[in-house]
Amino acid sequence: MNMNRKKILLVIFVSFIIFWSLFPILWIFNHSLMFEEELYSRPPHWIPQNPIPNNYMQILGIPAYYPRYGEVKASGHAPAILNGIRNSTIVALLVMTATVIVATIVAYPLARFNLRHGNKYLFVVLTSRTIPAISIAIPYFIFFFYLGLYGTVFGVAILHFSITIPFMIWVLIGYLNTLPLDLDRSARVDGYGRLGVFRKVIVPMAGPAIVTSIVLTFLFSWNEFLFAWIFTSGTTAQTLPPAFPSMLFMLADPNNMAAAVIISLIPPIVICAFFERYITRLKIVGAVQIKSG
Amino acid sequence: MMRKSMRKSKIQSPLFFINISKRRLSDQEFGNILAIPLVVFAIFIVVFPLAYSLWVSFRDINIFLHVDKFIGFNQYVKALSDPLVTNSILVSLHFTAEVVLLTIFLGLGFALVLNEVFPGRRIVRVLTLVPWALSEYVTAVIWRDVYSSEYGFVNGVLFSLRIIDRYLNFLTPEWVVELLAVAFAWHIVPIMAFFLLGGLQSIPEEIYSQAKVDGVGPVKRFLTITFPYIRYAFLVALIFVTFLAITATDMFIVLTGGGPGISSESLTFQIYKTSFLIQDISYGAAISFILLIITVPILISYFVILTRKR
Repeated sequence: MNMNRKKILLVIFVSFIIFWSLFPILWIFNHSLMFEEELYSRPPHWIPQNPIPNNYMQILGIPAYYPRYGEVKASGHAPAILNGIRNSTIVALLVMTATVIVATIVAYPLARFNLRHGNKYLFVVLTSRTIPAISIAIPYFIFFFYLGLYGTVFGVAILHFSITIPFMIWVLIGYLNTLPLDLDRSARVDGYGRLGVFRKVIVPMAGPAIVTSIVLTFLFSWNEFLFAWIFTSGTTAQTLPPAFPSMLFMLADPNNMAAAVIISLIPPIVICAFFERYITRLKIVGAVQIKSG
Repeated sequence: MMRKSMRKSKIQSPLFFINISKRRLSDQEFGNILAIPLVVFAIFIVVFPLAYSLWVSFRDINIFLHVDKFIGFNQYVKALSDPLVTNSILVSLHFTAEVVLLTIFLGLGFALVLNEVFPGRRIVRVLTLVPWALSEYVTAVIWRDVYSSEYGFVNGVLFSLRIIDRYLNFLTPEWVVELLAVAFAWHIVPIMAFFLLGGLQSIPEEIYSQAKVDGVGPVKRFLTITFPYIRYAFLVALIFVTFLAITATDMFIVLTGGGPGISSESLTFQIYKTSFLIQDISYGAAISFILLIITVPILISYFVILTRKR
């Protein structure tokens, strides 16, 4: 009896958690499969009556013809979305490449050589990065304005890089510390130099952590809004996130907008599904760094 | 033998940094050569801009009109007597308090449920994590849809249940901060839940079964056994969530744009508006130091707790 009651309670709570975590996303997904007149029906349609891919085609700049509705033109916001996807990918790839190279090189000596002031370096880097993003945007706005980096993908990439690098160093050091130091010593005895140890021992052993933090770096750069909005909105280098407030202010078709949101969610959700086990471990470790901007 | 004697030899030449290449570097030197420049660079791209921002806040700068003159503490004097700034500080504190309360309540509940053993637990955990994988701006866009006065989810549910007979606008000055707090809490509850889950999993199972045998009730079990174990994780998560809430910016820009009126202008939004919309960048810099004064104690306590010996 008691066992049964506990089971029922558990089912109720678990269903609530699933509902709470997913309903806003499902709601906007629902909108992305509708035409505009269905959107305004009252009471609302919880499931679209005739699910259509038109909003996705429109927002990706593909006109569509449907016998029932006639010609559906491409959305006027399609160029911003397509350009945004391209620029966001370029920024994310730049940030990923720079971060993985620099972070592995710095994390190796900080984790393995027992440097005299190693912890101090790390502490300063990490604390200095926990400044609100909006405070750091002000001086950078002036710098970038005079350096000509305002409205360029490099400008945003530099800002993202300055956040991802401490994060990834932190994650890698945490991971390298769990590997036995004897591996390095025996490789050195076998005649490898420091760079040899780095190449043949550290990189292969830290592989999972490196891959995961690359993925998280990509996710961060893809998701980052504030810097992208301040430094690229309205320019040719506009990334994907700033396209959304622009669409909102221009009162874009809500269905098209919903489709665009779902498109922008593909990378985070794919990453979440494939890397869940690593991310739950690593993301909490680096949570401070990656979100604080 | 060779290496040891070479390392001991004093470097005489003024161009010793060239001579260094002739002998093998010690691990210390090698590590410092790799690490120091990059660490210095990392500090440089943060500390220098902040110092520059402080300098800007003592001046009156408009980069588009090429105005630049020293005015001392005037920006700060102006900020402290500016009703917009006072309002934004109150909005930020209001928002933060509600986010923290909601996050504690939901996060603790989720962690306790996810700690139970049931089939499909792993999938449920992944799903719980999804709101955190989304970014803050996407949260804002999605919740705008949920709150919409024309096709919103909340209106739809209430209308279908016949609680309301026409769609309402919920984003009124009285309720906007509460609704923003709910949306932001949705985004950050997973962090709280996973921090606490980590703490819960460190509790040995025997203690519980022993307590049950002794006939300790569930509330007392929670207070005397569970809570002491997760106290540390709870404290860390609490400070972290507070920091996230007080520095939240995207939410305000995308979901409400500070409106209606000035009812949802948080301190961060005030800085954004002043610096980048009104283009009064030095006044914005001055206000940003007010934000820093609020956040620095939070961060210091965070690092003290993280680095303290347990």
